[in-house]
Amino acid sequence: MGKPSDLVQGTLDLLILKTISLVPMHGWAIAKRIQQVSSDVLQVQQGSLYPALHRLEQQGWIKAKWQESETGRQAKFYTLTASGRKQLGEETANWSRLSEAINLIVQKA
Amino acid sequence: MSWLEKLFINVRMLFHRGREQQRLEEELGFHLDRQIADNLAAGMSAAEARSAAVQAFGNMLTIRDQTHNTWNWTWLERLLQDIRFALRQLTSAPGFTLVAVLTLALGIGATTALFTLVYQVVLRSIPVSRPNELYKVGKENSCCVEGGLQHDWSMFSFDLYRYFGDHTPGIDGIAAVQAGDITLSAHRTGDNAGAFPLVASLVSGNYFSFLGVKPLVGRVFSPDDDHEGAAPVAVISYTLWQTKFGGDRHLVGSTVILSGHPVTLIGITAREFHGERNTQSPADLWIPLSQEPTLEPDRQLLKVPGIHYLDLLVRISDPRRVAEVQAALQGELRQWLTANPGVTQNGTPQDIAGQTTELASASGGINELRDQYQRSLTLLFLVTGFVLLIVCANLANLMLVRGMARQRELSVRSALGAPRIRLVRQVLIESILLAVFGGTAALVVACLGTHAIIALAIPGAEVTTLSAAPSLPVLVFALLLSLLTGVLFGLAPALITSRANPVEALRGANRSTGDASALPQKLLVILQAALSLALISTAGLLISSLRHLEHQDFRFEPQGRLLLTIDLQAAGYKYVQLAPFYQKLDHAFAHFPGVDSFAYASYGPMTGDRWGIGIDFPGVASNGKSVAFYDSVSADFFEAIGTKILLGRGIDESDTATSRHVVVVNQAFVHKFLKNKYPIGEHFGPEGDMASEYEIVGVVEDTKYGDPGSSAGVPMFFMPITQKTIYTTADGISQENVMHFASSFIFRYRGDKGDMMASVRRTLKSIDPDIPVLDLRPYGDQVRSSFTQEELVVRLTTLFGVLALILAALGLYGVTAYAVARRTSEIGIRMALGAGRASVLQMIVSGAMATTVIGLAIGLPMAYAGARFVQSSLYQTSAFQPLVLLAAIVLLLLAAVTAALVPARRAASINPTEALRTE
Repeated sequence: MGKPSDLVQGTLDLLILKTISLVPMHGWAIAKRIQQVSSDVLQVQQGSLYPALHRLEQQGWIKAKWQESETGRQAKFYTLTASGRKQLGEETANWSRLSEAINLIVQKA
Repeated sequence: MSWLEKLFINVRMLFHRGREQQRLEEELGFHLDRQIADNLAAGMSAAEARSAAVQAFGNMLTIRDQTHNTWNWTWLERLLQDIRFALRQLTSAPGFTLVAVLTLALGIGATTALFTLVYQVVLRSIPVSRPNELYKVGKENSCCVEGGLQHDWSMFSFDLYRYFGDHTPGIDGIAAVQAGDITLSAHRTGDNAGAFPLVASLVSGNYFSFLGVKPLVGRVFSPDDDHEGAAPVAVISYTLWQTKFGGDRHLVGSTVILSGHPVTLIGITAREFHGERNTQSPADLWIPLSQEPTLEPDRQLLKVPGIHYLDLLVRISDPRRVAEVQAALQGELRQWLTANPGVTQNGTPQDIAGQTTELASASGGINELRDQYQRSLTLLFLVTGFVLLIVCANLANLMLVRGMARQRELSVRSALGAPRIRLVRQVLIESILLAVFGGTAALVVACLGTHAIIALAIPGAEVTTLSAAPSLPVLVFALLLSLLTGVLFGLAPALITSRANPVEALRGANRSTGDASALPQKLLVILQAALSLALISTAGLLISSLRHLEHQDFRFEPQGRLLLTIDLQAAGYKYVQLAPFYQKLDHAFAHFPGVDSFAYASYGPMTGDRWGIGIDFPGVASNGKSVAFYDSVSADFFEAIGTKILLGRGIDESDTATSRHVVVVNQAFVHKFLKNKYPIGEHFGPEGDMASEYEIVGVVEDTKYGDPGSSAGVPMFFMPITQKTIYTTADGISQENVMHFASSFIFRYRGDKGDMMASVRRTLKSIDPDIPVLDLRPYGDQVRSSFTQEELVVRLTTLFGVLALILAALGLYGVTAYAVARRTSEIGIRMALGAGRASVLQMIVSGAMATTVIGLAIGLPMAYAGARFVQSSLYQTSAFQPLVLLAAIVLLLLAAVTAALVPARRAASINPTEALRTE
């Protein structure tokens, strides 16, 4: 049973925010997109996306709209809100700092 | 995003969570279907595609749950779940629930009812502006008219009121209001039939503005209304407006005839305003002080500087100045007395130096009810406190027993993974629910209870300053009490039960012979037994005291007598009209069929009235300390009332206005003033130079006129109502005139009392239809009405005592029944090994009795303390009454045996084979 925290804590939020920052997407597409972009390195348990999506929605960083999907069926599409965009910026900066720090340590050792 | 928007999302989620849940299903369903379609496109078989999609998705249940959790209303969902569960638990044990709710309702209801009354009588402020700035001059509440020196002054003459008003620095106003009240007969102009009596209060012109009371309709007095020659006006209460004038909108400005004098009604006060005092019979109508001489031409209190009949209120906005104002008032009082030697009855400078007065806070008004009821209320409040303790103990016991009974269930749930906190929370929610139900029921009980107590305490009151509706502080009090009880007594059992180790509990269930819970349970039962004993024995003492009080020898005969009460002054009679009126009455009732004798007096025995006077004896220097009560009575008064004449004669027809002035004295008078003398033929008289005014012609027994609870006789003398003492002082003349207005008329009759009452009314009406009958009742009822308060206290204490007994028995029953249930298999083994049914019965009963006896042993000193507390209110009953105590003990033991016998019989009827097979 994989949990989102299998990823580095909070990373899933960043991945979701980044993924939908360009175009509104539904859950399945987000999962697929993360998989594709990370060249299948990040195996996100697909289902674990949903608690995260709903939490982000509650926090007001993303908002959802039901509309017709590529298959013609109604699906829930997520978009960034203004505060979500701000959050994305902060989290990206945080991530850069963190990964640089880890890189420094790993390369020195 | 602002917190407001977040809140909005949360609230939307809360209300739409059904739809949201469905939406989530759709969303997840879409995801799966999309993945399946993808897998199919990749060339998988239908079955493969599905299982691969499900696998990639993860645990559907967990994900759904986790998503739900992000919706922020999970806590509420859980709470509702817990409440639903608790409700199910409660309804599945209706007996337990009913007993628990009833216990709470009675205990908290009774306490709340008493608190409602205590609050209104002792704590509440009167509805005026800034009541905490009000102070009364004089800490005692006295009534009604006083002459001479008071030492610690609490009533003042009109002259003194003006003197204070002119000279006192540091006050923000002073107002005067009559210490007693006057009864007036009233009817509207042109409506002669409907004369009715009403209670009026004389107030200074600034009374309403001083208190800050605004009129509901019309206007209130201004100082201009309060001087001689001003147009006569009156302000009435909202209640009078509603009850006697039917809420007539055009009443203000109309004229009403008050005791024969036309008076203009200028205003109606706000609904909640009942005057400045908390009393049994609040005023219906207010009149300026200056109108008193017109309304009571035979009294004219206003014009006599030496007659003190006013309560004075001062307003002091700065509390630091109270001491300064008090000192100023004391100084002014002495200055005024020095300047008015006439009113001090030639008091010496030393006498005057000893005169003082004090300021007392009057934020609750002039509180007569507090003086009257505080002791009884305190006692009852303590009693309900005891009952509340018992209720709590009982409830705790019930919860404990229930917790134990559910131990297996809780163990199973715990073993299945329910966290301890959730279990405790559930038990707690259950007890809070019980508390809420109990609290709600308690409010109903409290309303009914308060209503009943007011009705019992002040029978026949149409208007009262007390209301049965619990006010906000009382509501909060009741709910807090209820919640506290629920939480406190729910929490302990919850913790005890949740501590159980599931494995142990499951393995050892129903096999144990004793457990940790037995001790607290027993302690609670012991406490209940002890408290019940104290309550019941105290109730017993009070009952015994009341019986003595009611069945004492009053030294007159209330049976077969009617008492008619009228107020001739209120009916507009002048002193000179009295003698002809009495003659008409004598004539009408002398040979009235069914009336054996007829008499009247200023006041009859046990009517609540008494007049005192200082007396002097010839040849003895006046010491100002010889005081006796006196009464003016008609011929045959003693015969009519049933008081025995011990020596000489009573007042009779031979005592006329022109014959020598005679009196009849009572035994206590002889005992106190005429030791070793033959009383007949002795003389005495009112203080001053009138020591030879009266000649004693008879001695009667010490009939009770005042406090039925005092056992010593009080010196009294009786004058013929036909004779008039000629006083030289103004207040003497005024009081003498008033003494001739008879208020009590006594009929010794044969036959049906209803018929007699009807013909008395009819005859009175034929003599003068304008005299309102204040009261007409059998004399026995009048006497009984003196015990209303005692009866109330006894009834309630007994009621609470019985309640305590029932609760204690219930508690004992619960504990014993529980023990029997727990020990079923133990008892089975005992019986299998040869124990007889009788010995099992004995074992169970003796266990219960041991608990009870310990409780009784602890209860004895508590009962003693209770007896000591009520001792001063007992009449001819000593605090130590072995019989009462014994009766209480026997009663409690009987209740205990009954409570223990039911489960014990169940234990004895256990079938050993079955008992061992179960489990």
